[in-house]
Amino acid sequence: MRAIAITVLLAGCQPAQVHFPPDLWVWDTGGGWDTGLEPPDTASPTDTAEPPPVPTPPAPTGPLGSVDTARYVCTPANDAWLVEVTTAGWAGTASASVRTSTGDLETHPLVLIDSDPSGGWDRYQAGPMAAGATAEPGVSSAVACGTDGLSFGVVTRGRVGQLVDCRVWGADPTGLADAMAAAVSDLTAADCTPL
Amino acid sequence: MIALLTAALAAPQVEGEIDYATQLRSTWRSLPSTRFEMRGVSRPGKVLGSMFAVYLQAARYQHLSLDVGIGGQPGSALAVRGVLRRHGAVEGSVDLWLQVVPTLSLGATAGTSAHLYYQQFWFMQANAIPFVGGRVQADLIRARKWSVGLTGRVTCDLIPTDLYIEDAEIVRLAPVEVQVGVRAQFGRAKEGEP
Repeated sequence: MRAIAITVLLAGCQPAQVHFPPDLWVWDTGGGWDTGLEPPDTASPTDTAEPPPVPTPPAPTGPLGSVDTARYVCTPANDAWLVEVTTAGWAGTASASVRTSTGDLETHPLVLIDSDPSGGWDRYQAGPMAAGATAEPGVSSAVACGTDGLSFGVVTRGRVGQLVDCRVWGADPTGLADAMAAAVSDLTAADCTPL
Repeated sequence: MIALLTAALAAPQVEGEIDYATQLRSTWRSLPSTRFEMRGVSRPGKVLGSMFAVYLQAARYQHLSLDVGIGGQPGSALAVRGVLRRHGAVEGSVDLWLQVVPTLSLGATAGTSAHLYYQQFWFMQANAIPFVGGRVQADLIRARKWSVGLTGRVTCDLIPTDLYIEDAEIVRLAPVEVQVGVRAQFGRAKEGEP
């Protein structure tokens, strides 16, 4: 009985894994009804065209969900901040931070706005957020457009909440990394690399 | 004369019918109490499903009873990105029941479930996952040898499961599952027991 309990406890430390491959019904993408798990044997006049290519995700350059591109900009015409982040492979969640030269730190959650169906990338966005207003995550920012000495950072996480990537840039990336590490329990300044 | 002849011929038949009926009744009484259940299945991250199960009463002592059963749930869709991916299960379990009042019982359940995963129309993988949980059942209609009632079950998987979606996304399957449904019980306790 004790051995069974120990086995269950040990097994509990290692999650069971289930792997789902990409779409198995690829030959139906050509249009029309096709039971085809196999490619067509004979080419009829209407089937002379090559079957559509199966979408394959581009090879990510870093861990799945890592930051590929990021921008944190203020559009003076709207007087609003806009954050856009593209990840390599699917991520779970993302957030962006901005720190002023006086040490004020704001963090805004990013919203998934587009995703590659084949898992190649995700696009996250926050804003437009009203600039120079009362800071409210994802809605408005206390930082005014044109403020000098700003530092920016982006953090991405996987679907189970694990830290995937942290990128910083701007006037004082090191100071921002320290401030973000102080604000987030599972993040250290060493996790954040320059964009 | 004819009446006597008729009675003589008929007598063995009547005796035979009584013997057969007695034997049938005895056989029926020797069968263990059997319970059939049909439950709706709710698990976060998954479309509502259904489960069918049958249980046999293995032991009974006053207000305690021990049931063993098997059940299965057809695959229902997982809320993950991409094409249709489904999750079903086949399980074996042991239920320990405590009759709180004549129409209400509380219980504990433990067992192992073979989680079955499908993508589109194809079976993909099976994982054996042990689980524990609690049970409750209440009688709606109760007769001497059968009853119909409501039943519920909450279980928690002892091994977490991570779903790797096209090797690009990892989603952890919620370990808690809630089931509510109806059950029909046939049979009775053995002679001399409550």
